[in-house]
Amino acid sequence: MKINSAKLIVEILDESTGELITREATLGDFKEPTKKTTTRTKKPKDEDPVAKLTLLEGKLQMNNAAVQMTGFEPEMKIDIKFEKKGRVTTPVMMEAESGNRLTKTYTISCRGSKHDNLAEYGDIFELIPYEGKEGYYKLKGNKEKEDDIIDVPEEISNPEEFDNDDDITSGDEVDVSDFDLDLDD
Amino acid sequence: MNFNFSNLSETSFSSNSGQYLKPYEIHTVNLTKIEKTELKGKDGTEYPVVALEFTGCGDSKGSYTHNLFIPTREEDMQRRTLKNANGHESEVASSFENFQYTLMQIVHALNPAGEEKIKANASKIKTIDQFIDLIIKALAGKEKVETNLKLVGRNNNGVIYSTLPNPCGINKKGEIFATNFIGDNLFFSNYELTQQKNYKNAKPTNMDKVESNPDEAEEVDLNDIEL
Repeated sequence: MKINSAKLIVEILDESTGELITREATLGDFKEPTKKTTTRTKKPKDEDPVAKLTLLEGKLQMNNAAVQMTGFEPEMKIDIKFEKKGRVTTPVMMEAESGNRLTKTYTISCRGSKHDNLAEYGDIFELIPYEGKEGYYKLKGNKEKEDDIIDVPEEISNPEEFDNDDDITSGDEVDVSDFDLDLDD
Repeated sequence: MNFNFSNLSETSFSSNSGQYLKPYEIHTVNLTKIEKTELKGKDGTEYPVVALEFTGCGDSKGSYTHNLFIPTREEDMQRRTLKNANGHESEVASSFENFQYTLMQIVHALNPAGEEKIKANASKIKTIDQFIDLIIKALAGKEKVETNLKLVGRNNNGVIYSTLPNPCGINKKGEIFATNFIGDNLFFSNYELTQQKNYKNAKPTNMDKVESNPDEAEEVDLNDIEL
């Protein structure tokens, strides 16, 4: 259905005479307001129970479970730092003055070398609460980092192949246990 | 010939001297020495410093000595503004702020009760010497307390030497905040991790191409030492 035109009818009462005067006015063509049609792409429902962080282009996205676990809120400054134990380096997430602000959609800016360094561990990270350090979360990536695989030299990994020539107790060498070290006598 | 083996019990047959704690590592250490001393510059000027000697324990072998320059000049109180490669300006802490944060963070790690006492008496401290004396007092007898120390690297003519990271930073609002280098909760920032990679991937210097200047090598260039 479409409205082509509209009329305004006004009744005016003359209070002194009691006469009722009717006036009609045409408002002209009536145009229906054009409806703005916005197409929203529906976000896939985030029902993953595991707290995760996803590395996207230029940013990190927290899922619902991660938001609930950490209690991080928009405007908080969040940083990813790296813990080094021996040869193993682990990314750790925490609130820190040096970090970037968490947005309302729970993303954190992650560009340049920070993005590249994190990408070495994967693009999806499971958040694991750091035992004994409240507010710290270890990030377990979905990729095995090459540097963290410790190379064990073949000769050490297979002790049976040791060369016994230099063994101090072998052959004609003096057996240290033969010494009488009892100094009380 | 009589050989004397009586020294066996008292002698250490493995030397720790000459071994230095490596950069870009977190070491388990003792603070084995803290003293007020002087360091001679190229021109013969003596600069007052607080020398801090950390000695590795457990798996950390070697030692590291940090000479912390005692702020004496008016400009040591001023913050500086640095410009990065992208032209962004950022403020860095003053020498005095770095000095305070370095020493107080060490006291916090080794003697937290001492830190509280210093804070409680802050209004009574009038001179830098009084502050240093209090720090030395708070750290006396703590030589055997184990703690963790984060070392990063500083580049001096292509050679990377261990150094302490900055103990504090300045945010965009101009507020100062601590960045840990000793104690618990030690992590490497993204920048430090990138620097560490560069250090590990560095190729040995081609010594044939290096101009030797032994006189220069013996002198300390104060400009190369980060406060």
